[in-house]
Amino acid sequence: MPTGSQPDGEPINGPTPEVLDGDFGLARTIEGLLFVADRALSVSELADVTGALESDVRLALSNLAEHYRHRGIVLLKHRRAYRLVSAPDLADVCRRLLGLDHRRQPSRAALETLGIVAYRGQATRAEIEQVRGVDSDSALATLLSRNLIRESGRLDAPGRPAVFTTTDTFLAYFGLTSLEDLPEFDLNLEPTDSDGRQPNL
Amino acid sequence: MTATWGPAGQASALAEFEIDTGDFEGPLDLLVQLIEKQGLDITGVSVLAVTDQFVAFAHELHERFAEAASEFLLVASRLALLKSRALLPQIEPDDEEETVDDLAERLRIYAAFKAVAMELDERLRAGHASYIRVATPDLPQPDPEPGAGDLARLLKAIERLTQVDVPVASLIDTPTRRFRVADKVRDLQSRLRSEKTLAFDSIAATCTDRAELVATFVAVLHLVKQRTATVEQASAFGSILLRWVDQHADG
Repeated sequence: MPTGSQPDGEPINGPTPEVLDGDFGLARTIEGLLFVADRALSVSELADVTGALESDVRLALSNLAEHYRHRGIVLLKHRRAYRLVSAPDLADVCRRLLGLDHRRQPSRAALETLGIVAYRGQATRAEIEQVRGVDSDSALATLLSRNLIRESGRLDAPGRPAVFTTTDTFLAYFGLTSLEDLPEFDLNLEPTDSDGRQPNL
Repeated sequence: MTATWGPAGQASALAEFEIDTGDFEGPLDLLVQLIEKQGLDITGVSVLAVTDQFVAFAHELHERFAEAASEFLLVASRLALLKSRALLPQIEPDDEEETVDDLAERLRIYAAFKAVAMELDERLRAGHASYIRVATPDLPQPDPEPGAGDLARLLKAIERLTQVDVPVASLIDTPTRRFRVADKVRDLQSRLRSEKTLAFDSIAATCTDRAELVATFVAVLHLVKQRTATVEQASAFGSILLRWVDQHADG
């Protein structure tokens, strides 16, 4: 029997204090938008459509993320974009509903390549092969076909090589809710320098 | 450490370190594994310490992975050069050439990414994943009820029929030609016997006017009644296929 002061029968869809603390109206609005969106929505998009300040949107999003922390859906954050997804630990039952087979484990080559793209933020094929010391074409093809990475642009360099970045599917695939959840990298890699090496979008 | 610098380990390198030749991808992967199997940190000294094993592997690989052999041989030759320089420091290093520390640094970076890949792999094995909301897959459509076709298909069927060249005058005038169902039955029977299947559309296309078309259609019904032929229509308003029924086969 519950004896605590908190009433046990609070309706599940009722407002929760965490969300009320912030700008409840904005958090609600953003929640609705994320629900109907079929892709991740960026902070600037949400600010545009709601007419709110980006800082308020960010605050509302962090309230929402907190609200969803232990729910069946969670707020996934990939770079500056947000999306509602099922909670990572519900993977099995979701797969059953969707009629999905057991996932095939990607090869070590694919995982190494994915790790390089994820931790560097972006990488070209040459950069990946420089790290791995071996041809990585098929690993890249696998990751692209599974929508775990995408081509985000081309480098302004000879040959205009394609630049790859992770997708929000990548986080969902590994049951991560943000890039910050990635395991720590214990070697300080130089970030890709911004001058002249940014991909042209 | 110095023990492994000699040529002693070469022949037994594969057995000694229990690395399967199918177990690594490319020369850097092999180097990292060789260093780690010996419980060494990745340093320039460790890199040189496994040179002999690496060269032995590269030799072994030559036959198994012909296309990758060049990569291994390239690294093997670099290692041999770096090691000879370490043993004979008086040789002038070429400024443009990679130093053993550069190679060690590359290996450290690669080893860090390998650790990342391992952790990602473990995450996947733990089975956690999020799913996005997706449209429910379409349920298979039931077979259309007779007469339950859609408008587009109905119009198409009408269009096919109106392509039968019916002179406007004959629609008004009393037909001057007469068609007997019995004749049509005989015609269709003989055609079906030889051709086995006939599309009603193709028969209708040869009809010169509505009277002939009606006679032909009645003949088809007659054949079905006689069980000389069956008719099939895959979808409402789709084309009708006549199929000859072999009387002998039926017994």
